[in-house]
Amino acid sequence: MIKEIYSKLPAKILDPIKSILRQVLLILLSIAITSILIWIMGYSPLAVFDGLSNGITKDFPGTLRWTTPLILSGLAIAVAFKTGAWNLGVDGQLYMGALAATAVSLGLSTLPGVLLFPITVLAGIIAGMLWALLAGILRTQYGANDLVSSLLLTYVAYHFSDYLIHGPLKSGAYGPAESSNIIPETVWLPKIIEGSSVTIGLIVAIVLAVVLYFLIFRTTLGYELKVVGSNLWFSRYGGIKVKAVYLKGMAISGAISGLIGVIEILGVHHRFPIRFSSGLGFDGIVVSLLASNNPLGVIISGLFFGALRNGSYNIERLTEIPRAMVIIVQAIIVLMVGMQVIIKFKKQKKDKQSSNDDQSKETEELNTFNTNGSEG
Amino acid sequence: MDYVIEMKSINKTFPGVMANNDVSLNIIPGEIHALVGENGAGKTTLMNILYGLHQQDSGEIFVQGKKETINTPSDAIKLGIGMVHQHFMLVPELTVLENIILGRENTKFGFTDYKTSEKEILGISEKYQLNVNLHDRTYKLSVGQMQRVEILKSLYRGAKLLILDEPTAVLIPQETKQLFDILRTLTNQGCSVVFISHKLKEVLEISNRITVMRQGKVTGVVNTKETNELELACLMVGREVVFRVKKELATPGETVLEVRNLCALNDRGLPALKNINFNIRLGEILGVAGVEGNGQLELVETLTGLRAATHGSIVFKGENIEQCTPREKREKGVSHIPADRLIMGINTKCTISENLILNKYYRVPLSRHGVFNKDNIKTFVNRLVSEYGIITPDPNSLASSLSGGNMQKLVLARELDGEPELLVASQPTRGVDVGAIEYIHSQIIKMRDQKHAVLLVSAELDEILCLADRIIVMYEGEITGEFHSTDIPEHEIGLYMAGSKRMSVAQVN
Repeated sequence: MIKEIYSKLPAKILDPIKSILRQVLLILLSIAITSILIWIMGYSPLAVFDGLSNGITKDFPGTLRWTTPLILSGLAIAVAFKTGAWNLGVDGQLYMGALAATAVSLGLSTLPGVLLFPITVLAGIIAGMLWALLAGILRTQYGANDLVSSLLLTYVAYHFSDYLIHGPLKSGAYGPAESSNIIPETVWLPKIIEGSSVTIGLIVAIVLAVVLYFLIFRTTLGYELKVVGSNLWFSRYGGIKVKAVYLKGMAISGAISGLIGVIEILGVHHRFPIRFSSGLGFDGIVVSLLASNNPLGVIISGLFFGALRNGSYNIERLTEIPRAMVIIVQAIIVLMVGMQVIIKFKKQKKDKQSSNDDQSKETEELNTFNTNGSEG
Repeated sequence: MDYVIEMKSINKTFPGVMANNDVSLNIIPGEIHALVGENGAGKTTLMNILYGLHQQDSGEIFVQGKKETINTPSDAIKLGIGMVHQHFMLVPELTVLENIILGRENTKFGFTDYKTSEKEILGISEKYQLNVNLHDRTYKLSVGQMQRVEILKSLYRGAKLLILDEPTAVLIPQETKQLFDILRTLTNQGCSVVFISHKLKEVLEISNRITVMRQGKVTGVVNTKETNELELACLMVGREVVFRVKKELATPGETVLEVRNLCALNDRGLPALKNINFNIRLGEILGVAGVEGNGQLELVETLTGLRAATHGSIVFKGENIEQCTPREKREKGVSHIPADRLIMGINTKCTISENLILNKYYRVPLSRHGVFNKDNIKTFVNRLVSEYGIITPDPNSLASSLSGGNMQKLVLARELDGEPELLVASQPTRGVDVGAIEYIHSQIIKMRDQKHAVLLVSAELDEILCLADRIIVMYEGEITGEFHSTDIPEHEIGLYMAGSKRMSVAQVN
């Protein structure tokens, strides 16, 4: 009966359902493995499930609070991956965005809110974008590996923010030393759930996911990003300016990262606490991976990891199970997805060998932008 | 009769493809057995099974009448089976001798004993008349010589059966002749040879028996003496094939492309084009003959804007387009079928539809202000798919799902749509099956007859002779010969291709 319905559904509906089912299975498997590990360590093996259900049933606003930045960082990674850009610097770009937003709103605090708010948001977005573009330009101009440079620039951003918070942005009279002053209330994001940290940032994240979906699948820019991301020779041959397209992808990714910083500061912290992100930018990798880099899928997987993260905070508060178990779950999911990719790749390779007798030429070394072609 | 090799009812399935379906193959001692078929017919798969690179799902292999299981190439080598791959497996920096003994060195007190090996190899080399200098560095050798080293390597490992995968694809006519002489000597001495090819002429010349495969099945085993090109082609394709494309005499019009003193570098920064001069007129096919790697690739890339010229001019319709980007050139009417289909011609990670729109996606009607018009794209894609007979269940499936011939039809559809005035076609029929070759050739002729110009670069001399109205020969980045008719004997052009003959500058221009 179910099979019959199943077979009648068109591929357009069936494929997403299949892929979601596959991912759910993957998650369950990962949690099972983690549970065994936790059990060996002498805690309750159901801790992860407890955490998850806790996060969803008892403290849903808390889950949504974490969902917001996770969706955004998933999107930042997804766009970069589509473009073939290895932007592992989302966390750093997020700090630069947060710093810019903090500095601008504090520095221009005398401006009226109508002016200050857009300037603050824009400053954060631009700062994130420029930080990502720095890594991008290092690749297009000098052939530096973007994975390495974006990652290392993250540490520069960390320490730069440390310096600013201990120095020029150091809080005056108020509160703990390891933070900036509180930013003007005029730029605080309006809450959508009273008594929580859930702000319009969540709506922005969801809308952005839809916009990116449209961008990737319905626009010429999205087409260019995908083509450049999958085959540089083909792109050049088709007359696409690969460097420009790559930098556009990097810029979008960085801008989204900057926006995470803005929303964290304006929506949740209302000041810049030192090292506040706790790896949000890196979590985007697993969020995007689980969603197969699909912007709409990122909403769902962002929600899942939001619940996991929130649940883990609650569990740590209530029991003695370390929060690190969430990191273990994430790591195992990354491994699982990685394995899936490898299996798929091997299968494809085998298929190719069999069906194309003579065309086994591998796509080699697509990673070089700097051939002596005359493209601009 | 005793067979050297007997493969019985071999079945091999890859996900989604039945690569070998109940295939049987017998090799008589001392024969040259040709294995022919289109791409994807399963020839290479069958040989990979014999050589231990793949394992059969079912079926048996007998070597000298004894049933054997071959799990790895070293099993095969132990049984006296050797294989020379299409892409040579040699270390360029080592000498010929070092390459041959690599992995099977004679040792004396733990040191490599070159003397004994050398003696042994010289013996084999003399016996079969494989003339190679054992102390040359391998990178200095010509392709033909490298192939001989590969054969020597197999013989040194005790091969009694030699599998050659498309051995002539990289050779000029003269080298092919030499190879054939070697193969005859080999078989006279009792070795057997399996010769994989889809060049029927050669197969008829060299082989004793022929096994024809189509879509994973054997469609015929024939004695070479009792068959002909037409019968083989029928067995291969399953229908009659026209060999010579029918074409009228060209009636060239005005000059559309003029290349003057063109120079360019290759990827390593060395001169690849040295003062190239030629022109093409409308309604004419200019063939560029030459052994691969003599600057043809760089010429095509420079013409289409993918490579910067260091000197010279490219005048298209009276305008110097040397500085134009690939897209500008395309918009002016220069179209390009690239040699490397799987890397440049097609993006295998994109859908068929995404591949087809590459040249036009950024313009009305496919998109407006950067947003795609889905309906118009669908109409456009469906039109090309049906016009060019691309066989696919769904244009939204991945391009990698297409067969080689259909991939090339996709490239053709994209490049010919919109009637470009100049088509630069590089190896347009490489690795595609006979049916698709026929189609591609007829499309190129059609282009010409509609008064467009075609620059045809091909490593297959046959193809050039068959299609071109005028021929230039490239050797080491220069044009060494120009022929105004195609009524020239192959070996004559072969001399120019090998660089042993050249015309003076005055003659060429």
